Amino acid sequence: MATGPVIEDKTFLEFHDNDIIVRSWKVEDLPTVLVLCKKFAVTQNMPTKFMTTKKLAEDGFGEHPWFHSWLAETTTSGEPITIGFAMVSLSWDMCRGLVLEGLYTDENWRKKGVARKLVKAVAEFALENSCKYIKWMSLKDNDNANSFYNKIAKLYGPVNECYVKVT
Amino acid sequence: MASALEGQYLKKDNSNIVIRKWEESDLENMSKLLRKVTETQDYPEQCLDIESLRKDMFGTQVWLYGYLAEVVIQGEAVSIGIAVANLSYNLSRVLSITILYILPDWRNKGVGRGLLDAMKQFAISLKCKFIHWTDEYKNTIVTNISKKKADYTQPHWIMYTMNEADMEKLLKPS
Repeated sequence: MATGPVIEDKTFLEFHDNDIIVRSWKVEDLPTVLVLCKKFAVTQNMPTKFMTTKKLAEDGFGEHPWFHSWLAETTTSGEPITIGFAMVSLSWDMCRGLVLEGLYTDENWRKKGVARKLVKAVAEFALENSCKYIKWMSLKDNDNANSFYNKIAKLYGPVNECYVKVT
Repeated sequence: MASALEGQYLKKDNSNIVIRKWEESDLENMSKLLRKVTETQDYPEQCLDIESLRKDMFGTQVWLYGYLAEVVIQGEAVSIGIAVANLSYNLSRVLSITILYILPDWRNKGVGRGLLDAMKQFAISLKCKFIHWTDEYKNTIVTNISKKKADYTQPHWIMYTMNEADMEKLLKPS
């Protein structure tokens, strides 16, 4: 079994436009990121009670990470404030790719280019790791998100997400 | 993680169909089976040469996990089906199945169920809560499987994709 992680995330991918910086998560970011993750989960109708920093640490920073992740922060008021995150998992569909599992901008920071900067970080990571695609799902009626996605990606079409409970 | 992936032979029933985790010696068979999958569906990008598969399946960073179904015919093991999955994350661990394929002559014989069961056991060993797949409505065979096998489905989703050209365009300085 592979040991890792060996994919080298760049620690900083800096976009200084409007003092918004995108960088990889570190373990010390988790309490702040957890707040955003829970807000994201609510928008996706997902339960939040089992989400903990311990689980995120095990899953994201353990010997075999389940995801790679970035956060967007701003320093406009002096102290850095976390205003968004992106999370991907490795995918393989006849070639390497990424699934964008989560993309979220704090509601006070929308329409300021934060999501675009996060997706740029994901795209850079994808190309560095020889990925041929990034794919993600969006709710059909999420007009704000979809109007952004239509500018940067191709609409593949409607899909049904199917789950089988194993525990 | 290494111990979760041990245990090769999961099922051997009277039909001599064996479901097992793939090994490096299976690379050539896997490449052939995966190429058969590409005959049935459009995959614009493919990296199915043996070396790419070796790196992605058995390298220091593993991109895909899977099981083979095989049957012994005249003393020789023949691969008749394949299931491929990724480690996915929906704010909790999920095993996401991207490919489930059985050779046409071996369908409706429980091979798909065997591969899905193997995936379930693998998911449990990894402490996943769910296995998952996406069902594109145009594929009626998969849709029918989803109706029978999925505990729940979430319609109302649309999928977006970016290829390399889209990524490069996004990263171009404006």
